[in-house]
Parts: sequence; C-alpha cells; structure tokens
Amino acid sequence: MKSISRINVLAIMLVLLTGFSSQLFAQQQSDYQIVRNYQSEFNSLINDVKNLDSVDKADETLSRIDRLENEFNEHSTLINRYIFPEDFSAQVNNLRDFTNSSKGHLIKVAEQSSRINEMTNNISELTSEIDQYNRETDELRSQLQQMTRDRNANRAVAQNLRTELGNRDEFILGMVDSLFVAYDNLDLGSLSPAERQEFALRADKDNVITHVGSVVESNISFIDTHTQLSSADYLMLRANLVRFQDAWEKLGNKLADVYVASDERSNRVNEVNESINTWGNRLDDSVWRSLQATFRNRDIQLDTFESSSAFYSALNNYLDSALTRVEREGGSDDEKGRVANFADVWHNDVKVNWQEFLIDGRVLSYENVATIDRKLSDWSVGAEPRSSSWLIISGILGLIILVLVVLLVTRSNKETTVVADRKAKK
Amino acid sequence: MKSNTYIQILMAVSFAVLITACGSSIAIQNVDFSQPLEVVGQPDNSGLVSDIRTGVSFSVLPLLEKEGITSNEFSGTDVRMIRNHQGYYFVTAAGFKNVYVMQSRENELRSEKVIPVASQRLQNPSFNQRNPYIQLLDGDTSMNLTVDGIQS
Repeated sequence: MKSISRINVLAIMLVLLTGFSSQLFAQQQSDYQIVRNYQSEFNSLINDVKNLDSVDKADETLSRIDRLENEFNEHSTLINRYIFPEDFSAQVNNLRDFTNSSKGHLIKVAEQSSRINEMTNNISELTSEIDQYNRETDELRSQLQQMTRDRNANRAVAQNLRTELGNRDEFILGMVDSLFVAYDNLDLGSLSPAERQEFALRADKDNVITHVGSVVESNISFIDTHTQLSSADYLMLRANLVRFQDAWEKLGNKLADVYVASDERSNRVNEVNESINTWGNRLDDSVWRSLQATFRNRDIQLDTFESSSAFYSALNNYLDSALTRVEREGGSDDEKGRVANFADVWHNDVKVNWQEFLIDGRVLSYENVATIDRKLSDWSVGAEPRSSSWLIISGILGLIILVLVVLLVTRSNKETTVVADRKAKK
Repeated sequence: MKSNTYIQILMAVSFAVLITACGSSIAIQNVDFSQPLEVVGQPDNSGLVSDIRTGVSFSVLPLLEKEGITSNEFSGTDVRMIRNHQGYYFVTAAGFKNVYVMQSRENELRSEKVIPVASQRLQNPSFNQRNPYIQLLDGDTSMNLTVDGIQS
C-alpha cells in the first residue's frame, strides 16, 4: 500500500517536472528561430502549392496549412512585426485559398481524365468489335465469290453481307457518337496553354486521331472491295458518312485548336479531313452510278447526274418533259404505262427503301420528295386517254343537230313550194 | 546718456536671446528603439557584418580581438545583435564570453558595458526582445540583460 502511494507521488512529480520542463523549453525558444521556422515552413508550402499534381497532395497540403496556423498562431504578433507589411493571417489564408483553388482545378482535370479514360476504353472495345465485324464481312464476301454458281445460296450470303454491313455501320456510328460526345463536352476554352498542351499529349496517348482515321480508312476499303451493293446499301452508307462528317467537324476543329502549336499533329488532323473527303468522293461515285443503273434498268432515262442537286434536276426534267408531252399530245395507254413504271420505281423503291437514307444523306429533302410527288400526280392525270362515252355523246349531239338542220331545210323547201303553187294558181 | 546705455544693453540681451533660440536643438522624449528580432549575420572576409533590413553595418574585428579569437577561427560563425528600448545594441556570438552593450555615436559604436555571461564560451547564443530586458539564451541557460548587467 505504501509502495503504491510512493509510486503515485513519483508519477505526479514526474508529470509536474515534465510540464515544467516543457514550459521552460517553450520560454527559451529564440524569437528569431520561431520566425525562421515559420518562414521556412511557409516557403515550403508555397513550393508545394506551385507543384500540386493530385487531389490527395492538395488535401495533404491543406492539413499542413492547418498545422502551420495552429503551431504559429500564438507567435502571430511576433511574425507580423517581422513580415510587415504582410500579415500572418493573410499569408495563411492566401495559402489556403491558392491550395483550394488548385484543388478545385485538379478535381476538374481528374474528372476529365476519368472521362477520357472511360472513353478510351469504350473506343478500344468498339474498335475490337469493328475489327471482328470487318473480319466477318470479309469472310462473307469471300464466301460470296466462291459460291457464284448457286444463285439461291448467293442471295442468302448477300443478304447476310448486307445485315453484317448494317450492324457494322451501327457500331461505327455508336463509337463515333461516344467519342465525339465525350470530347465535345470537354470545356477546352477554360484550359490554360499548359493544360491544353497536356490535353494534346493525352489525346495523342489515347490515339484519338488514329482511331478516327482507322474508321475512315476501313470505310474507304469497304467501299473499294464491295462494288456490288444495292442503291439502298450505298444510300445507307452515305447517310452514315454525313453523320460522321457532322460529328468530325466539331471534334476536328477542337483538335486542330489544341494542336495549333504542333505542325506534325495538325497535319494528322488534316490527313483525317482528306481521308473523309476521299471516303465521300468514292461513296458518291458508287451512289450515283448505282442510282443511274437502277432507273436505267427500269427503262427510265434520266439525265446524267453526279451530285444531289443534279439527281433532283434529272428527276424534275424527266417529269417536266412528260407533263409537256401529255399536254401537247394528250393521254394514252402508252403514257399510262410510262406513268405506272415511274410510279412503281418512285413509290416502291425510292420512297419505301431509299427515302430515309436519301433524307439522312442529304441527297433529297422532304420538299424535293413532295415536289416529285405532285408532278407525278399531275402526269398521272394528264396521261389518262379521253373517255369513249364522251365520243358517243358527241356523236349523238352531232346527229341531233344534223337531223334538226335537215328538218329545217326540208320544212323551208316545203314552204317555198306552197307559196310558188299559190302564186301559180292566182 | 545713461538711458542710452540701458537701451543698448537691452538690445544686446534681446539679440543674444534671439540667436540662442534659433540655434537650439529639439529633443523628443520617451523614444522606444527596441527591435522585435535580433539581427543575425556572418562577417565577410574583412570582418564586416551587414543587415539588409536595418541597414546597420559594422566590423566585428575589435570584438574578436577583445575575445581573443582570430578571424579564421571565427569564420562561418553568426554574430547576433539586438537593440533594446533605450537604443543600446547588445552584441555577442558563439565563442564569446561576454555580451557587449554598445551605444551608437557618429559613425561608431562605443562600448557602454561589457557583461560577462559565461565562464566558458557561449555555445549557441540568441537574443529575445523582452522589454525592458534583453533575454539571452544559450542552450538551457536564460538570463535577462540591461545596460547595467545581468538582472536577477
């Protein structure tokens, strides 16, 4: 019991001694050293704030600022006299504000970085699926070439080819949409030159241009190797091209803006632009050739066309000529046959199978289609031959008039004869 | 005749008073010269210690001679100086046995008091402003100084 109380007394003395020592030590700090320590820590924090590169480091720096404030707050009067005209509280608050500002910016960059990573993963997945579709398409094409003797089989394989083609294009457009939407939402205008440079390097790392270029090149290759597609297939490809061009126009400008300081990367953007032009030219050649063949095979001789406006003009010219003809020569069974032939192509091929792609591909507008519809309707009315009942009615009317004339003449002759007889009797 | 003499004396006295009044200096009382922090600086090759903030510049060589230390031995050592509220400079350094209380004169610092503060030499001294005292720290040792010496 006694020993326990001795231990207690010793412990209390030890605590008191420790407190006294620390108090003594606190009293014996050099003011000069306190200010030097503060300045050293402050300068170290300034350097850390300048070099912040992650949100975690920003949080760590904020904690250090809190510790600096707590540690030196009791010496603020001394520090203020040394750092005049600055002020301890102002220095600490400025440091905290700068750190919070940098942290906010780093959070924004991290979010953008996360989105770019996510998008890059999507691109990689989509690219691999596109490769798979390309392989399947090539395999089907190979089968198509090998099975030239069996027409039924050819038809089935061709159908598969078109289905694969449609799926493939859906994937390409899905990839393009995700790619462009993700980049389009990035606010490049708010980035500093250094951050834009960093973004450019990241875009390089993510192979954005390479992916886009690969899609364009694979489309060109597809058109070059699939020369026997239908007009509907070509029009569908053209609609996809237009959607791709619209999306690239936005992203391409952004990338060109980011890459403005690098000739090499600017050239790569320009190369993609040129490839898309090539894609468009090759596709247009096939589209116009296929459309001309489709109309020619149905005995509809349109003027030669190699553009959307020329195609519309050719349709208009054909219908205007027909309208002039029926106006001049009247309707006939032959004319009705021509109307029926054109109407069959127009209503059953163009409007049923092509219209969506003609509109999406900006070949024809809704107004253009309405104009053709109206002219076709006028042609159809004018092509009707005159009715036989009208001839009968005309004949009957002519006969009645003839009878009336004969009666009148006969009666007039009789009256003349009676008068002559009376004169003779007198 | 006598009245003229008085008038001349009165004029002479008035003139003397006027001249005296024009030449008298102005004295401002209760000035506090205390520096919040000590000045710390190392002497250059010629023994000159300079402080950018206060603009004070002086040679430490006379103090080294008094302490019996050569320039080579003192090389790289900080000289520490602080001014108390009365305007006296307190100067010391590691290796010194004394604190020198100096009074500023025209282009000179003159020793007002030499305070022996260590039987051995100081190891790592520093001054704090603890008006009306100057606190001298050296390791665990602490003492309050005035122009008169160590205060208990």
